Amino acid sequence: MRRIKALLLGLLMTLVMPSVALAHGGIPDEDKHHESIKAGPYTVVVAMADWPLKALKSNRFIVQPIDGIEGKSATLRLIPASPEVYPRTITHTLTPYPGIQNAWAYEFAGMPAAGPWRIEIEVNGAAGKGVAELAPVTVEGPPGVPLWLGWVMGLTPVYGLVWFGVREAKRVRRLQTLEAK
Amino acid sequence: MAIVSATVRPQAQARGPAADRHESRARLTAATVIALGCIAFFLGLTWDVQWHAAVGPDSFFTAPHGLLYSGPALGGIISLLVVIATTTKYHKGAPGVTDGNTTPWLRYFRAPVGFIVTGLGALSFLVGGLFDLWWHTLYGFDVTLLSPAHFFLLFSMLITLIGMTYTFASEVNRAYARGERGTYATVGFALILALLMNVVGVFLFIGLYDAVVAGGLLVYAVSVALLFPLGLVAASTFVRRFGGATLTALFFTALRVIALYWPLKMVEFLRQIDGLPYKVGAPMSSIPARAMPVYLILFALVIDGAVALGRKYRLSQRLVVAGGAALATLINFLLDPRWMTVLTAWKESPTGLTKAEMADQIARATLPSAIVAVVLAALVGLFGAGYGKVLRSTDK
Repeated sequence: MRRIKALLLGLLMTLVMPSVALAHGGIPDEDKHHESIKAGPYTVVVAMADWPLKALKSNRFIVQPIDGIEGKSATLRLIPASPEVYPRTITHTLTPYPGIQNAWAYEFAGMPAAGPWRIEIEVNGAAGKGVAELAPVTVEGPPGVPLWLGWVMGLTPVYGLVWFGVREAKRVRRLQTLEAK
Repeated sequence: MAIVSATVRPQAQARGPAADRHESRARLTAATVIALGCIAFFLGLTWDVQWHAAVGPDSFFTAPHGLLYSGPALGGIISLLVVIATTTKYHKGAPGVTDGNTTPWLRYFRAPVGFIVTGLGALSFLVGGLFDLWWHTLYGFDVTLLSPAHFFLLFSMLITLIGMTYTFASEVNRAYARGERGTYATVGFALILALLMNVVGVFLFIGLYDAVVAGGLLVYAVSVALLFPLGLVAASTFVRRFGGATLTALFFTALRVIALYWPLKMVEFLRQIDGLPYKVGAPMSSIPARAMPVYLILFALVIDGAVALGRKYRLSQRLVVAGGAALATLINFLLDPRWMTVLTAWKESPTGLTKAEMADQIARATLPSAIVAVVLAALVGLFGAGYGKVLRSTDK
């Protein structure tokens, strides 16, 4: 009985402890790409949860000023090299993130398109405004199966539903014909 | 004599209203347990969506996922048990289980078709869970509902729920055949249909966030025109008394109210256990309830009214359901232009679109969307009536 109770408690604890993905601290160790850059008077470390960057693959950028985020604000800009790559610049105000201390984070659905991009970070604080640019990146194509194939697979249950619907419509029509006779 | 009875199919002996009533009670008990599982799924889904939006650390083994998966798991297990039990009873020639109230499946099995469909939906949900895990290894963690794996899961759950509408509808029909009112089964039917629309209602949020305008049309308005006429016309035409759609809409609204408060309370509870702060700018109102229509009871009254008038004056059912669905959708379009909340609560767009550009896109899409929504609603209303008719012809 005691063993069962311990097992159930263990199971419950696993279910209510979702924070395995994020430790309570700064940049998680498992982040794959780190870059230290100067934004005017500020030095910031940029970490990316996924690297190299792939289009449509969700990602999390962490931006950590070496002297903390107190009294500062920051903006991230994802700038396509040309309108053919992507028609717009994406601007995002960086904010603190649950479980990550002394840093800002941007969790997003990934770079919207493959090709050459520039990534800019603007930091504002007591020492003024500073803009840093990361080394230019070439975003790779979407990972794994193409998205269209993913959707063809994702709609599998619908094919079953349509088959069932047609079968049911035929069944009822048959019943009505029988009743009419 | 002994030789004669050995050649008679054993099921032929199983007749009589008492045995039939006993079998109905067993089926309704099983269906009620699955319905509770479906409610658990809905509670888990709304909690999970809010959790991702407000706090967000992502892992598969979370409490919301546990609750969410428990629903189809329960549906799958109970359906399997019902299929096995009914098959055994059929082959033993038990009273109340006959050719007339079971459906053959894979040659050997016999069971009510609703449980077979619900079980297959649950199985599909399990496959969808594995698909989702695999998808996350390719495309990363959850930041959107709009993913092939999530739609696989959504449609699997819809199959589970459609199976349940068959089960309850079948019990309504069997009760009628016995000269009873079938009130319990009718209420169960309306609850399941409402749950189906609430679950899709959570996904309608995509039309207020990920894809507001697509192909020059408002995704939300078109989706509303596809979903609600189908469900509510089916309810109105299936239930033999006035108010099938209205009862369904009442359940929908009750579940919407739950979805307004439950996820917020549970996210706060889990956040405190985990010791995690909210994200900056985290939504402090319910995300899953945000896309659910507020005026669905009015929507349903229009449809019920049209169907009742059609019955009273012996009008063409096609005409009344198409007209009722189109009118209800138009009223809802004018009363509740939910897509405008995209502008009133404007946030930086992940696509880089500015508020002015979005306002322009919405303005240009409004009139075409109204026309498309009304026409679609009329067509979908006809489908809904077809679904209602199929459900009326279901008793095995």
